[in-house]
Amino acid sequence: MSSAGSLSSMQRLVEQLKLEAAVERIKVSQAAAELQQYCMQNACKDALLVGVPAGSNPFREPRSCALL
Amino acid sequence: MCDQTFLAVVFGPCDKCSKEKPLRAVYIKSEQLSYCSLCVEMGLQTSGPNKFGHLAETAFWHAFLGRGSPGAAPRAGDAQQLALTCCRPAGAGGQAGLSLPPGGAVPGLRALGSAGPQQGRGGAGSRVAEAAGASAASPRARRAKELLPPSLSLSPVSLPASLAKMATEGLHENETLASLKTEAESLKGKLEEERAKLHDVELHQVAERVEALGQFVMKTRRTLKGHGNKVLCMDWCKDKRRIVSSSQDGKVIVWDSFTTNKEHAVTMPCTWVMACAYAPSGCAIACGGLDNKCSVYPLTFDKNENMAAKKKSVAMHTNYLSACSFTNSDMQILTASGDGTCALWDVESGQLLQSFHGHGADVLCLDLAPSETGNTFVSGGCDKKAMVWDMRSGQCIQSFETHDSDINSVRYYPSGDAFASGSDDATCRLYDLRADREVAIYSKESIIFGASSVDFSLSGRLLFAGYNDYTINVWDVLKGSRVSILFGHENRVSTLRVSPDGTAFCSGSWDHTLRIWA
Repeated sequence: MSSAGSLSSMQRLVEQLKLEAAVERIKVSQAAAELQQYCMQNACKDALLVGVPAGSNPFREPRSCALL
Repeated sequence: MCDQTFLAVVFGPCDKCSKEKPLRAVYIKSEQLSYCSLCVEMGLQTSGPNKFGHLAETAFWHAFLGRGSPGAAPRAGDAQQLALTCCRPAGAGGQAGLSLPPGGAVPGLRALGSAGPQQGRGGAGSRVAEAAGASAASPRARRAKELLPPSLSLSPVSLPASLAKMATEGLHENETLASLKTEAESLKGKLEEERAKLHDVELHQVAERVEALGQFVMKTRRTLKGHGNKVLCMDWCKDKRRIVSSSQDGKVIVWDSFTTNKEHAVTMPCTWVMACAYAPSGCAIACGGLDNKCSVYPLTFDKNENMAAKKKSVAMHTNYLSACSFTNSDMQILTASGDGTCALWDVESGQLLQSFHGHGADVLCLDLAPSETGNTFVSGGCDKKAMVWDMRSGQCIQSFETHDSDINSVRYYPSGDAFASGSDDATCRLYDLRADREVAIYSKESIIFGASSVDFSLSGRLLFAGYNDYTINVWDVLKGSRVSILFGHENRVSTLRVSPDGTAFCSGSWDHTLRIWA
């Protein structure tokens, strides 16, 4: 029955919204600070960000041609 | 077309959780026990003396390939042995097919074959979702109005008993529906209020004091040629070297990205293989598309073995498969489908472990949380929503609806506290999970084509996004500005992944090639 279907789906939606409204949240300033901190801590390991010495990136080293 | 019976599965009580499930052999301190796949998962996540060795997984694949696993014998006594066929006939049982979620999801295939780049606003999927929502709105209420001509009062005495009962029932349901609707609206308003209260600053303001990024020199270092048609999806192997890619012509190819050699190739029975994934052990790949299934192929270097013959169908959906991913082990696969649902499957038995209903239209993408942060995943769909799910309970924990069009790609931030999304509305957005809101938008007036695929660099400072205007834009995640545009592809970029160690990223395109950038 489509009406029972839409009724139960509305009930589910209300339940879901109640759940989502009850989620614990922190301030954006704190969340942003933690995102930034993670970036800074891991920046040195990020090869695409800081670049690695030419030898150690397997994609950057020149490929040798095999002579058959 | 049915695959043959291939694997005898031991079914019995798990040694850890005591539930009746398909079991596999694990080795802990040289002792052989039988665990169900969920307990194997948990064992693989822990560290210390209870962590399993790699032995458990290679034993699984050895058994799979028929080579006899070392020392793994079925438990005597209360275990039953079942031979399971991989292909389940269409009418079989509730767990085989997933029914469409009620009240929505007229599953429309997205505009896949459109020639040339699409404009940003309003994908086909979102229009379908709107139509479905409108038609589902209280047909009972409409019928109740028809039964009572406007001039008649609501007194039941003036009408025949059955009609009166139906009329008042209809009106009663109408009231309940209306009251639920108002409650839903007020809850939505309250949610927005709560979120806004904590919105004290923007991310780029917090990041003002961070040093700006310098010039980036990123070039195509390898071009992988070999697909005969549009490349739709790709994934890296954990060995940071191998890549699996799938394309519109049904071919799935495994490449060695250092040498650009093709190591394996298999032709799927369907075209538009929209999803492919590499198993964490590197021993298998999963792929699927218009066949509505997710199939797992074990990778073997034996020239005499035909890869296609060892294929195993794991997932069955009622519409196309848009995304798939192994969880932390080879034992479970998470899939997303055009039927509006996501699902978690046990690879060995093909059993549905958990299904996730909530999207109002096709689900286009999913990403698992980095293993340290627990059992959640995020999915994005044509209903413009990104939803975060708990894998164990099937519950949606959080949802975000700020995009203006279909969400094509979602990817977790490396720390697991946030995720980015790319959408047909030509923007990428960053959502923080603990603040429960969108915290950044990556867009420019000059960018009008949809973003098809996004991924973060290792530290999370850079966001790489592939667009339908053939370019890749590199964004500074903290400051919100674009640091680089990469040209090279000759058609829209459909997929983009950074390698597991962050030394390079790979992009696949409708121009039939994949490019490795570093």
